Amino acid sequence: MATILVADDFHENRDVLCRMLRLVGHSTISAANGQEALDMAQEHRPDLILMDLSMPIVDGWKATAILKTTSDLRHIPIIAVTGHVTPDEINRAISAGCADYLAKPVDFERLLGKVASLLGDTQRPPFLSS
Amino acid sequence: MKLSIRTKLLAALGLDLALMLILGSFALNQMSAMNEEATFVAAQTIPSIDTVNTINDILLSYRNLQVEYIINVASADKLRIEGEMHHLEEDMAKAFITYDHFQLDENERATFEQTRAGWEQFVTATHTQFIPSNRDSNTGNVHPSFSRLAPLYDNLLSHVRQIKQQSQQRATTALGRVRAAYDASRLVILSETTLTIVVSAVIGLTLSSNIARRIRKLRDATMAIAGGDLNQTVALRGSDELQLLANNFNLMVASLRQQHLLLAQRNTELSESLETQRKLMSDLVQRKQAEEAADRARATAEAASQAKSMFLATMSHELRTPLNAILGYVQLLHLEAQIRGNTDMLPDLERIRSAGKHLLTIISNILDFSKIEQGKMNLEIDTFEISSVANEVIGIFSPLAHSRGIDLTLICPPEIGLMRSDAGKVRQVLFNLLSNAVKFTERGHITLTISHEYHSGKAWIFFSVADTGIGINPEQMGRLFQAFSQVHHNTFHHYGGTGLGLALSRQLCQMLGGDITVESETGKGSVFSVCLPADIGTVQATRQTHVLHTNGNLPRHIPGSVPSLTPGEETAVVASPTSMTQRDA
Repeated sequence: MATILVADDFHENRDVLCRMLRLVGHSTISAANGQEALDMAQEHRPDLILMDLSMPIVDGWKATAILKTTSDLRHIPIIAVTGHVTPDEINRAISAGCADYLAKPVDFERLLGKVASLLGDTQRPPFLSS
Repeated sequence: MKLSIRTKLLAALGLDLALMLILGSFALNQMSAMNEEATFVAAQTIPSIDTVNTINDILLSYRNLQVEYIINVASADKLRIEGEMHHLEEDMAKAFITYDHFQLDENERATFEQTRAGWEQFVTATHTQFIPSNRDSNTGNVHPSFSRLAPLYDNLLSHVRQIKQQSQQRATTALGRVRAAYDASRLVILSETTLTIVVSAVIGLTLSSNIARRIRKLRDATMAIAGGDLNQTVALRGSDELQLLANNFNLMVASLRQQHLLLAQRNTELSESLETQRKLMSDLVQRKQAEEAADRARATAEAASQAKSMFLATMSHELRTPLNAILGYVQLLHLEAQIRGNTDMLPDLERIRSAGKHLLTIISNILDFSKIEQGKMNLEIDTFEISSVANEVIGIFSPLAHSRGIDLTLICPPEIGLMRSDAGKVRQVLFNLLSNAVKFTERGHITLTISHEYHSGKAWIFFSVADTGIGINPEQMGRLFQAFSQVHHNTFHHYGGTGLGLALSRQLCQMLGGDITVESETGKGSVFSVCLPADIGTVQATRQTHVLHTNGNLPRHIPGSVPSLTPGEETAVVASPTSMTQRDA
């Protein structure tokens, strides 16, 4: 399975997202702000990044933009995870380089579907088929 | 005096002229009389005196020749003297003829005739007695015949002297008449000239002083008026030019007075008008200030509204973050409970999840409202199948309705076809209506009926959600579509909700060119009807900029654009209700 970086300044949200992803077998690493996310991405080369947009130090939009202009990291797909659900904010995230977005509160099934589709993995975990 | 000055002046001039004429004619008369007398003296008196003198001279010479005739003794001398005597006789005859032609009075003529008779007698005596008796005598002695002639001669001489005296007398008389005429004319001319001068002077002085006095009155009056005394009038008697001038002057003063009064009146009106204008101006200023205050208040209100929207958007975001954790942990617990077989926990976890979802709906509605308020709600127009949207929404509520024992039915004609609108918004509206229906109907039926109708040449799609809830009373109905307005608080406690769902649904319907209406009867149920254009392009453009009023009042209808809904248009509706629920969002 894949390694997924979860960036969110709110600890509980990081924890929930990581545990959801680990439930289906992914390995996760997490960052509390954009700068940490950039460092972790550089260090661990994750297969996917879940990026909260409103974060201290370096926000999600800026971190995404930096990642997308870094030659050896720009291939990593990024999903914006945000409480800002207005079309303006979503467009801003997409134009910064995000491949997709998830509105908070994150629905478990929707999260796994988007992750799987970006990783090219269409197989659904067996316990969700019920 | 009722005469004009011109007339008076002309009359005075005429009087003077008449006096002059009289004077002149009289003088001329006197002159001609004098001329006549002088002519008479020149033509008659002087020649007649001359003639008388000639007669006298001839007589004296004739007598002297008689004496010589006696003295001279020579016959030759006697003959020469006879000849000379004969010449004198002829001269005397001529003198008599001359004198006879003068104009003579009776005395003169009588004297003249006596003289001529005396001369003829004397000449006759000379020729018959004197010459014959003395022709041959040469003694030199005085012949008695000479003495006999003496009485004749004396008589004749006295006649001649008398004639001479008469002629002198006549000349003296004529000259006296000339002198008298001269004296008389001098007196008349002098007195008449004096009279003319006096009359002219009297008339001139009278007229001029009269005119000057009246002009002085006029002058005084004009000076008084120039000094500002408009009550001045000039009283002049008569009817001449000055009087006319005075009348005109009085008229002018009266007119001036009137004008002055009028001006004063105008002035008063003007100052009143100015006062009014000043008041108006101050009113305007006050109004302007009030408007500015209102503008400031409006700006403040708009800023507050904007701030509220911003606050709502921020709150929506901030609320989603912890909600994300809550719902995330619930999902995790749910999964873990399933995996571990702790099924007794599942209902509680489901309640937490449901409450969280409800909270999410509320947050979403709040955010939608703030979007509409800020004009940020965009429409995503596309063509979609009506039945698929309807089925999707029915599919969401079917499990819940089934679990609560409510019949949820969709009546949708198979040929209903496509619709061009914002599918997401249509879905949201139907979701809200069905959510309410399910939430507030404890038993009975919920039916979503879809129909297709033409109104005003346009195709409309009707979505009607009928339930068998407790209905809404008319008083509550008025506030039903107002934002943040619960029908009453009890409802909130019983069923939850913020009162936003219906208000938001109406906003969305109006954005899509339609509207939403409700019919309900307390205790029997409610029918919510949504009417939307089949093609949003046939109605007016999107209303994404439509801004809610701060009191949340929404227009009931868009006049002329949305067909009204009548009960007859509902095809499938209220089933027999047993227990009714109050409606809310």
